[in-house]
Amino acid sequence: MAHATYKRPGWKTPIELRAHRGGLIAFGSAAVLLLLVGRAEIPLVDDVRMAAADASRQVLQVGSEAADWVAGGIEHISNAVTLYDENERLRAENAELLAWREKAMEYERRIEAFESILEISYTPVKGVTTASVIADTGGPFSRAIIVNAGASQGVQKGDAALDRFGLVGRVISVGSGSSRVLLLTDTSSHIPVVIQPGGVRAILSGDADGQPEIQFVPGDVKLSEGAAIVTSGDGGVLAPGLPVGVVRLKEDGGAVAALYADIARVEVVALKRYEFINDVDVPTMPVPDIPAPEAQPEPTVAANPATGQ
Amino acid sequence: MVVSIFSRFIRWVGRRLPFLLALIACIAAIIPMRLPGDLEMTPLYPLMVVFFWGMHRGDLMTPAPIFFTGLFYDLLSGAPLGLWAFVFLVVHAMALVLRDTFGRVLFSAWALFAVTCIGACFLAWAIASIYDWTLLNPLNFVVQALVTIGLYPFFGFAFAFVERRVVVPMRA
Repeated sequence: MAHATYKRPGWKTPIELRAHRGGLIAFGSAAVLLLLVGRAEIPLVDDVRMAAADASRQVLQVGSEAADWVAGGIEHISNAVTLYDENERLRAENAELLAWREKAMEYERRIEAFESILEISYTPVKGVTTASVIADTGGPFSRAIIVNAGASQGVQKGDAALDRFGLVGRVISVGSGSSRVLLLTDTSSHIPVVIQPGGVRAILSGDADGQPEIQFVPGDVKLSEGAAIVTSGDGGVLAPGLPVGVVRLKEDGGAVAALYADIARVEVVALKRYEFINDVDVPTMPVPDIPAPEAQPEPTVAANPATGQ
Repeated sequence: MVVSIFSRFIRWVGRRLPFLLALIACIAAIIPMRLPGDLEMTPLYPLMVVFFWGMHRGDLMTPAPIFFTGLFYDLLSGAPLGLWAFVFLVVHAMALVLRDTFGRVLFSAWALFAVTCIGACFLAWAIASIYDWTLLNPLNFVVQALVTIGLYPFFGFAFAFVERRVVVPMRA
């Protein structure tokens, strides 16, 4: 080997460490500098990230197909083992679902009738792009996926990403042929939601252990186990009414969301854009002729209920 | 003449093979696995490459390729830019010091990797916590470290094979 003498007498530090010292210091400082600069959240960093994803797209595509093949094989084998039990379970589930179908069809007729009376208009869908997941960052920092559709397929920042079951996340950056979707489980994901019977408004915040927390629930509201959670559409972040999951109560009194979406194994997502109506033409009201209010008396200190004095 | 250009090309590729492996490792680390079960944590493949090649072929794995490997991994994985670049450089220095203190027999190499990997994940957790100014859940980092340590022997053998059978002949 070219460098067989790893330890020479008189050298207190490894040879390479001495040789690399200049480089280690220079590149180490560069990394620290990048960390400091990156903290400022410059849009350029986002663009470079998407360029890196775009450049690796072909390799990622092939890699994820190979991984799918292997995972499919493993699933095939484990399915063959549990075939009988699975059949029994499906038969029972099928019987149950048939009863549900009757109910659903009845509701569908009723909703149709109500809609025709009320002339409801929903948030119009501007477009849908279907894309497959080619990368899952899987690291401890950000829970995000990269999908193989970008600006050239019409994807826009802020699109809602849904799998077959429900909301997965939303598009945070768009490259030319790929885009990054921030998952609901990321700690920086905060989505306004409505918990359905009762219309309780809350924020769904990502948590590191995979089940997003339901936060900012009004103090007097008691959530019930299994209540449906949908997006509220507040703030124009996402369209209202997208299915998210159900409420799971925790022992410590908090509540988390059991998501409908299979986030750990999401393969295909639908990226949906909605037309948000943000500019509502408010007719100009005639200014009523109200006399100026008289000066209010100074509130006394004793009347302050907050301090209890 | 042609032979000489070709052999020079082979030598050039041989010199950059560890860096190329590191870039492939970065991409491999973000390919979705979708395995049954709830384990979502992918191993830190680039850390394995940086550790092994820095320790065994310090002449080929120098701070520059290590820095760019880290940067590429930061870009792809969505980590704060510069984080893994910094951690990998620290890992490189740590690997060299550990090697010259404890030697690099196969089994002890695994133990040294375990120490380095735990140190690297702790450092990453600390930097990320300072970066976000919140105490991040360390569980994810612990799981990632354990998965990486568990898989290292297989990759260690594979890298040793590549070193002996591919890199050395190519560089000869």
